[in-house]
Amino acid sequence: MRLLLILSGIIVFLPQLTAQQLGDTALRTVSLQEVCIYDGADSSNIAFNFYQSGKLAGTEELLSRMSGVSLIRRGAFGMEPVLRNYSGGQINTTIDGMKIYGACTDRMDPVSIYIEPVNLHSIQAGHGVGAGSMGSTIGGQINFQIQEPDTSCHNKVSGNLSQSFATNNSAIQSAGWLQASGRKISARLAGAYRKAGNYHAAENVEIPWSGYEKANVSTVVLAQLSSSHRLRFDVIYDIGKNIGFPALPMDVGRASALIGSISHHYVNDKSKLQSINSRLYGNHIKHAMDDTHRDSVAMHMDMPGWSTTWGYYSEMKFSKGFQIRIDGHRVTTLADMTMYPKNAPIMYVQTLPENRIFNTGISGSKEIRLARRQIIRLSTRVDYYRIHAVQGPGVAQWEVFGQDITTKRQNVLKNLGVSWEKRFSGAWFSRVSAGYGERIPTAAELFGYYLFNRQDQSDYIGNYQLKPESSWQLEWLGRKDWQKGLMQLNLFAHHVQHLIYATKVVNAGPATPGALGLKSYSNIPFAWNIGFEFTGKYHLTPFADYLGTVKYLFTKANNGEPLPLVAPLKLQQAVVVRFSGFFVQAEHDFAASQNRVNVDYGDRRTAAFNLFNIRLAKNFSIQKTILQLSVACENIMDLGYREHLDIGAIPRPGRNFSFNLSYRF
Amino acid sequence: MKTFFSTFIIAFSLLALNACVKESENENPLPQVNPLAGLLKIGEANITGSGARAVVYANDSLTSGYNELFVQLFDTATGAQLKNGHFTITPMMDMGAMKHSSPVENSDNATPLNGIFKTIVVFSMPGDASQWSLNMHLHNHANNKEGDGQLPIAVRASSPSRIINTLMANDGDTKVLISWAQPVKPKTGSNDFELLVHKKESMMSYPAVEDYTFEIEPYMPSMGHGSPNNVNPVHIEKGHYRGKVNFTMTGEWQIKLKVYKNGVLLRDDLMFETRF
Repeated sequence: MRLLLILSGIIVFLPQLTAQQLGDTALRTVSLQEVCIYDGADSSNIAFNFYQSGKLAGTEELLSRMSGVSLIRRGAFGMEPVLRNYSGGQINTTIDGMKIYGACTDRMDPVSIYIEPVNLHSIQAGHGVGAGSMGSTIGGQINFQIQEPDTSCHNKVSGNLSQSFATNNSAIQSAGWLQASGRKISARLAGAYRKAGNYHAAENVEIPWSGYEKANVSTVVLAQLSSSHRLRFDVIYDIGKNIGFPALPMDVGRASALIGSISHHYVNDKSKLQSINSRLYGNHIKHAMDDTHRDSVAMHMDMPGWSTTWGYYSEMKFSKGFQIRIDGHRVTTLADMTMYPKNAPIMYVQTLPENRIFNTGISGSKEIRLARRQIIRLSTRVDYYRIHAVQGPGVAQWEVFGQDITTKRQNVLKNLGVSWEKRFSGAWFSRVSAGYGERIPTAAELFGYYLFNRQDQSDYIGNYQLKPESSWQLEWLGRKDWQKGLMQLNLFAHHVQHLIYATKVVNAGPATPGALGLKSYSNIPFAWNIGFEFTGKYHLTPFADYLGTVKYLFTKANNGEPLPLVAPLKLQQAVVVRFSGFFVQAEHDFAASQNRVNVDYGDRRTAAFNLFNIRLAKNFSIQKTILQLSVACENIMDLGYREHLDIGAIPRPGRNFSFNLSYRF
Repeated sequence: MKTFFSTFIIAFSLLALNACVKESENENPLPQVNPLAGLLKIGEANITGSGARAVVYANDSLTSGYNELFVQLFDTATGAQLKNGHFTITPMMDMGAMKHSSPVENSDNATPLNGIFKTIVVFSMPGDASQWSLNMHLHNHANNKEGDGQLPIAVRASSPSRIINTLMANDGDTKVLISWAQPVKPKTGSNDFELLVHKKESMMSYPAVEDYTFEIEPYMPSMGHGSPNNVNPVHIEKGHYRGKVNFTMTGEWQIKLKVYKNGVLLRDDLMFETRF
């Protein structure tokens, strides 16, 4: 009976998971010290902690299992995170609070690719307007926190090396980190190298152009200047080569990212101003799409893109739950396309005309503790944006549409969130939050010039006159904790106004050979996003824990049509068993069919599926070091399936065995 | 630690300031002092009997199709520039067995600005200096004398061709010359588009055609697409038809033409090509 209940994945009881039981470090649970001031962060982190504990999951794997998070998949690599159905410019995706703009007009380079499990400390996903402390948003924010080196009262060197191999795509992955901890100075160096061939869908069907090669190096240096002052230097360098995107007409020839920052942290618990966390940062992304490896290319073309961002932020935490953050950044992006037809001159077009976005913002939040364990939280953010294109071919191109895109457009965005929460007796918790938020249109939505979208086979052009999107949101979170588990339900209803939506342009045609039409963005009156997320955790036995999450979303535009790319109901559950150095994690994913599709966008109906994975690990202690051997079998049934957010209906990988050997010292 | 903070604050302010610095605007080009600046000298010839010598300039070397000629006149005795007179050019092609002219648009203005006489010549075909010549005629108002001069010139073939020389079967078998006047150098973006249309009445007479209507469609043959928001050229005066042509990118473009007269389609298979 109990088993049935578990498999249903809905009703789960009893006490808190005690993940530290093994006591070893390789399998430790990452406990998050951060006070997450935004909604839903806690529910996301339940899943993060659970799956991160095994150290067996990649960044994307972790993301996909977090509450209300889905991934748009274009290839075996570089999946784009989606919060509920908000993506791209509707959400803030940051690394340690730093803004990074993708340089790819096809969104092949989400920020998440610059973070590897070896340098990831935690992922914070917050939903909705109230989550927008780092930038105006309507969808929420995902922040990847970089792992800092540990400080230690005596000098200590530690490290980790791991090597994995996957059978399905002959993928090798080598990763490692080295850490020197001291009282004054600590440093951490992490690196990862991955190379994969084409993967195979069910029944060993090879998916061409799905291999990739990638290396990532990062370092963090911490200098403890005094008990209350700390300096930190961060550098990440990431390089990718020949990254295949089977769902798109082109692959990535070469992509690189250099991300750096200097930050200063001040803490003083005794003063009114308890902490100041400030950072200066910069990053440069270069991304070159290429089709030289495709065999059916009528005409060779190069599509490089660049983005350069400079920014700063300063977060001040005061006593009595008051916080202020000021920040600003400026970014320049440009993407162009050069085509090489046979027996004709080359063709050049700026698909994203060179443009600048300048932003400065201030956010504040205040926590008011009331009697009877009630808390009211207020949060607000105001952003100033100035956007314009830079003189050049892109500006001339827009003359064709009678637009002068060098005209500066300015927007002031307003965000406001308020929540009330109460802890009731019997470990019941309830929170109601409401908010209003706005988001700025993206550069592609404003300036994009004949950008081809594989999903609806249409070219897209921007609209410089777009208004910011705005949204009114209402959420309820209820939670019950038992000694042996917890249950949490999050209900939400978002009303989005001026939704930026692409519709067909009647008086102009596409530019890409074979494209079906030309679309441009406009603000449609409104759309509804309504749904829930459920999380249940249960401590089955002293050795075993269960986690189940369910997410569901219903969307409807003002014309009654569903919005594009909305994931169906999804259940993800797992049982983790730990005994005498063994670790077993059995996973089951169920996705319902999705029949509410946006045909105009090229959405296709997706069938339901059940997917099973199993992961095993065994730890061996050798003196003071730990050797971990792990084996995983993903898609045990060799199921042929695809998820609804997979672009181009490319099937997912079939059965895969992966092996990992990791040594920690 | 105070200094530390101030460093941070200064750094932040600098960044903010830097972000506020106005980007340098495109400076207006200086007004042209020399009216012949950027022009290419084609040649010079005495206009015998008028006491003047003509120096002929053009934007570039002469090619088949539309050409603008700029002529300065000088007194052969004193060398002083002559700025008053009636000056005309008749292009002449000597094919040995026969001779013919070509469409030309001379100005009636006897006192043009800066004394630069402008003539538009449409060369109907390429030819070398033994074939093409500019027959110039001047009534010199300074001395009230008239005379003629001849300047042999070479006309390259424009490539791709900027002139269409064709027969309009539905328009009484008229021989029509459509030349592409503007833009001379097409660019990405919106371009002013101008056609010049003449008909061949005789070997020596090429009057302007003023009653045609056009539909244009830019097209990239290697991509299979066109461009939006073009403006069909309409007749302005003297066979000049003006509209707008849009190019969304560099490369090879075709400008497909449909020609109508009184609502009757004359031709839909004509086009100009350009590569930039």
